Amino acid sequence: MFGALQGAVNVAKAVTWGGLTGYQWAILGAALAFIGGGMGSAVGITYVNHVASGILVEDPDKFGPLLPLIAIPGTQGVYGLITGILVPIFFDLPKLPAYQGLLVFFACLPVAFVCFLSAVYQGLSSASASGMVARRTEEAGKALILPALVETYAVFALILTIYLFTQIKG
Amino acid sequence: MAIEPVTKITVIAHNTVEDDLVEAMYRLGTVHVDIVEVDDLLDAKKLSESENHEARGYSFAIVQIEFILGFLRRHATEKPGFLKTMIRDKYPMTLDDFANAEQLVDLDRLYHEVSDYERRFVNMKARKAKLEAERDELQYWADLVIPMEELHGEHLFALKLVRILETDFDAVTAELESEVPESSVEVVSRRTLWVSCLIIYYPPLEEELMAVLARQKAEIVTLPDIEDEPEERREHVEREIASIDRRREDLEEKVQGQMHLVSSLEVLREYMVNERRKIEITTSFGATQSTVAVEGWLAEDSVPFTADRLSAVAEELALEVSEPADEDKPPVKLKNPGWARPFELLVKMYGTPNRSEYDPTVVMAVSFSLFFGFCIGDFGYGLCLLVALYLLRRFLPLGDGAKDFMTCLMYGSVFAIVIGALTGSYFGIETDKLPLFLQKIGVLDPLNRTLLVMGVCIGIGFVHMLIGTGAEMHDNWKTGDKSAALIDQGLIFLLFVGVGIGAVLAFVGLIPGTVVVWMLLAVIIAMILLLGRSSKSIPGKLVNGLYETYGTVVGYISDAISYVRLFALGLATFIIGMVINIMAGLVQGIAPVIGIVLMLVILLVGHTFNVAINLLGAFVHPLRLEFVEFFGKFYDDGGAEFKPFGVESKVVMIKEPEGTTDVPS
Repeated sequence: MFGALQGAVNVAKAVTWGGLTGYQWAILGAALAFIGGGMGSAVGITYVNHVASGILVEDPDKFGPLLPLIAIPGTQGVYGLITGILVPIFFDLPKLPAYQGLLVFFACLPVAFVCFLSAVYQGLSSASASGMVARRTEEAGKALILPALVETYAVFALILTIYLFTQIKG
Repeated sequence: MAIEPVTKITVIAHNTVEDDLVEAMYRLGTVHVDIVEVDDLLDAKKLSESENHEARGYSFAIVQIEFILGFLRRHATEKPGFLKTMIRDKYPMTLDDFANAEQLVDLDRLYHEVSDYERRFVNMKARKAKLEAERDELQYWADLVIPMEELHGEHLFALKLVRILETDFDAVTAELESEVPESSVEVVSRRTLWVSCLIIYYPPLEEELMAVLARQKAEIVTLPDIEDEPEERREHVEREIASIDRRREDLEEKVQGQMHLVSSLEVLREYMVNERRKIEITTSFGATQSTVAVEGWLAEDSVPFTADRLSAVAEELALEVSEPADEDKPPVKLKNPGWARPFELLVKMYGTPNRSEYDPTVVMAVSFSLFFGFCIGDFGYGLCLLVALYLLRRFLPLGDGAKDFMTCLMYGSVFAIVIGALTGSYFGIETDKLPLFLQKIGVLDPLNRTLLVMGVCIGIGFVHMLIGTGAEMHDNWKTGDKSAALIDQGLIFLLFVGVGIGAVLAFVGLIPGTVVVWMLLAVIIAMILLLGRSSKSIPGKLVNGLYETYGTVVGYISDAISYVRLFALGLATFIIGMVINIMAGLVQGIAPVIGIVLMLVILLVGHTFNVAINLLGAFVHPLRLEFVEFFGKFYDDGGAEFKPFGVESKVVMIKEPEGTTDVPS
């Protein structure tokens, strides 16, 4: 019992964990959150672009209705950016203990991974929805809702990450 | 917040006045034409040969117009901008002017003229491409001072023009020396990677020569069999290309002279589409040997004048107005107060409600605007959006749908202003830099009171969903399924409202906490015992009840958590705004004047980008909460929308009969 307590105290006092300081762990988490979200968004938008470009060759007037579908997988990149920016806002990074930095790193992971995958799949959904817009432009509103359902989990990931930040901050 | 009652109208007329009847209904624009049910006395109306011919004529005219418009758009020197692709030009005109749209353009003459232009453009393009290819080829042989018709050789020797890759040249010459000794290679030119040469050989050795050239992948060139030398021919080709370019320019000028007809053609196309609809609508009619029967629906306020106008069409016409019978399936016409009417657009996006269903427009008008306001969540952005949307709505030529859409967003912008003030968000300026009185208003600072704001969102979500549950409860009660109303929805209210209130009372110390726990247990047990009542056996009822209870409780909680997205999206707007301000602040000090200019540019572009990117989320996510979380609790769509037969057009806006047309003739 005493050993475990002593271990916990040691962890709390440690200046580094795994060779990195709290500051470094937190920055790593922030960077990873944006890398995941940004990469996913880039891939997702590329998927829609392939289909949208084909449609626009046939009918350039569809640019307006297609633009929201092209842009929608870009939101995950924004969530990654927000997470990355919230880290220095929530925490006093230079004074961050190693264990807290590590926790911040873990808290960033939901955004990093979920945003990456959801942006890619949202891009695929948007590409399918673009076909719907091509055939029936008047249904552009409905076509926008379907890929938006995929984004739910990216939003949840962001919410969880922010909630974890509030808990780590105490 | 209701579905407007509609009145059934039946018209029976002699078939000689059918066209007049259709024209009267078309001009009135008040009758939703239904398909007449066929019985022993009444057949379905079929189009006559002349009607079919007329409809085909309109279809052909539409195709002709599409062809002309496509041609003119391809040749337009001014390409439409982004806004133009989003918002098409509108032409306000009177119904009488629209009825005379055929006089706007001599379609047959224009079609033949444009077809001729198109044919000439295609021919010139093909000819020019051929000449350019020939010119490019001749450039390799410019130094060959021999008439091209003499490049075949004579009976003692033959000639071949060959192009070989520079890297393969030595290998080709070496192989020719060994395989075809009675041959000679004269280099004509060396351009880029290619060596162009003239091979002189003894004719009986042609087979061996061709074998070598094939092995070495040499390209055998054939020049036109004419008396010009290559350079002379090249100059001639250049002159011909220049002549084609001049003729093309002249033709382009003629085409530009037709560009003013685009608007007239767009109107004419809409006219043709509407004329074809007038023929097609008659297939909904019933018919006997000499009469036609029309069944339709009218909004209550349009019954008197519609009946009067239709009765006046002809003497040989019988008209009856009646209430819908039980077996009728009338169309659904939503009726909402003026301020909520624009939101009908969003409801219809999901699907027109079933006739027995509630019209959720009013609730959606409030909740969608509130959610939109949360997602934008900035006083400054809300204000800018409100002004921008007002100006766009006021000055752009928009259709009714686009105007309604902008009105919806304007309501949302008002909420964004309020929520921005409550959250202390003003163009993303950090809260501690705001004036003190603004800081005091900002009671929901999302960065310092994160959990409180999340809780507020969940609370709003529960209220929103319980309104939906209440609607379903009332619906069940009204249709006689009182057990479903009391058990399926009543227990949900007991669980979330009753126990919720109990928890609050316990929290403030008015009742002991154990009472709330017992209340909770009692409701859960009641749910387990009652929700599985559709199963036949008692174990089945219990298992099903357990499953349904779990699904209901978890479903409501997860749906409520879904509303936290409002907080996340609002925070996203704020954070990005803050980052833009930080970036602008960094560049401000780099140089006295340039720094300030750069700062202003970053602020303007950055905040515009922020609003644009978040506007998308602020529209899509609230709509998702409406369609999935709210509508999922009660809403049944599947109603046929009330669509009166009349002018249908995306570009023509029919004004009152008096007025002028803005369409150029």
